[in-house]
Amino acid sequence: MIDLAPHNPHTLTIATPVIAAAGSLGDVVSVARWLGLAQPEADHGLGAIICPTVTIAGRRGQPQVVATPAGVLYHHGGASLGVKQVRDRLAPRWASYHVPVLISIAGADAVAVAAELTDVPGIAGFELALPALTASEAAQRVTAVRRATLLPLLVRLPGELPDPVAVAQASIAAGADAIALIGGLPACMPQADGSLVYGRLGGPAIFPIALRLVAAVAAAVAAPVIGMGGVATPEHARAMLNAGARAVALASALMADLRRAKAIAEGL
Amino acid sequence: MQLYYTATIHERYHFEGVVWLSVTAPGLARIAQPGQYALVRPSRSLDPLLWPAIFLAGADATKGEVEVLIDPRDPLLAWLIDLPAGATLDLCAPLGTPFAPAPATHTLLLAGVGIALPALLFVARRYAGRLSVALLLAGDKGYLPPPFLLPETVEVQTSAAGDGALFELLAAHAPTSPIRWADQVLFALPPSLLGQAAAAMRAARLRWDRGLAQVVVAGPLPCGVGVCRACQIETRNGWQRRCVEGPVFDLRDLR
Repeated sequence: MIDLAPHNPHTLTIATPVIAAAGSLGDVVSVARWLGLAQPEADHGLGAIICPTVTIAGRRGQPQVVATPAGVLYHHGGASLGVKQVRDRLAPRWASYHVPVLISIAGADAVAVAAELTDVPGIAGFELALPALTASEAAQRVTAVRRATLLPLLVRLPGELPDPVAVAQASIAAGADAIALIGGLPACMPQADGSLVYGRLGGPAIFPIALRLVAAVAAAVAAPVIGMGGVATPEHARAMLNAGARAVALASALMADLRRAKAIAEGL
Repeated sequence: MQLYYTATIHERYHFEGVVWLSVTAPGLARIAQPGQYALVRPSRSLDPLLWPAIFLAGADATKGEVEVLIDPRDPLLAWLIDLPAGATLDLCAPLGTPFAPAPATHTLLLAGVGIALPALLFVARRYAGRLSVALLLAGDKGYLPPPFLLPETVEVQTSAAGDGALFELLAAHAPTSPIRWADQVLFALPPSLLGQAAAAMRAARLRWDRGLAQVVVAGPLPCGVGVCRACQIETRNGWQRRCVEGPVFDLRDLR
């Protein structure tokens, strides 16, 4: 068992070091039957699941997923789950699963969502997705969310940060329990009509970049680090763990194949 | 329920504009239904990229085989065309909500273009024995099903004059339009042609009841299990995922 929030009284103990990154399993309920999440002995390989971004009102949007030569470009299209939807419909289902489910929060709604959902059964913690910002700005945002919830708080860093080590240290000092990186890199791809889709690039193309940043951050902070960004094979996961990560998170690999977490967990 | 199957390529025929594959997958052949699709890739690959989606063209539970048709010009499927008989595939299937004719249906009109055509072929082959089935297919001179796959009792019209030729075949304004006599119509279309299909229905039937016209909506299906929501389509029931709630929709529900 691995504790991703060793200094938090609520704890975040995971059975395997493989986590479903935010949104890679959608609202989780849709794929629960395929993964056997409600069965105590299911061998899905997942230690925790992070659901897509939640905002106060929820937003409809049209996500886009574009295959690239060495990865997947994803644009969320502005879509998010709503607090009411999570509290009334999703969290009661998550509570019956034998794997912790965390909420992803971001932007202006992050503090309010954390406050609204902190006591809801079925929610094991939060993942705050930070944009590219400075260490002091990151500290302000983490502090604000930490005031709203005592549940385990992961902070996800994007790949384009000028100084990820400083941002990670500031986030830990402000109350984050663990750091996850990298949440993709900004990129774009042309569509059939020539127009560009802007989004975040994941998949094997970014793995070497992610590994370098994970190694740098893991060497600089004492808190658990979750390595993500192009992790798709047991070898990738092993490299992340050897670089100092306590766990890995799968995004595009899991979206492409629900068996991937099991394959990686068994291969470690 | 099982979601992933290992399949072995049993037979492969390369026609002028289409490749037909029969793959052995007994478990899948038992449960696959017309309108459903599969995500396919080389056997147990750890390739993390998205799998291409292929509409199923047939399933024979007795032989334990499912059939697919591939457009050889599709860059996402070029690797599949070169695989020999005996090669194994990893299939995520059967996905999507299938098409089933209404109990009162006696005459079924199938009309379509593009990558979802195999779904119509599957319907024609599954129901040709008990329904009167007409199949109208349009496209370029390449991607049209080979004749030997079509049951003898199915009336077939094809046009290689492009996707728009489908609506010439339908001749919605003519008294002899097949839309007028059909108990049920199933289209296979990309989203860009849904408006023309609805217009053809209006021209031929003025008003039509729910269930009369259904459509297999083609387009990218990145994850196949409803998590990415990239395949959402707006319906009168809200945004729905083509990969899970579809790909078969009632034409009246589409905006």
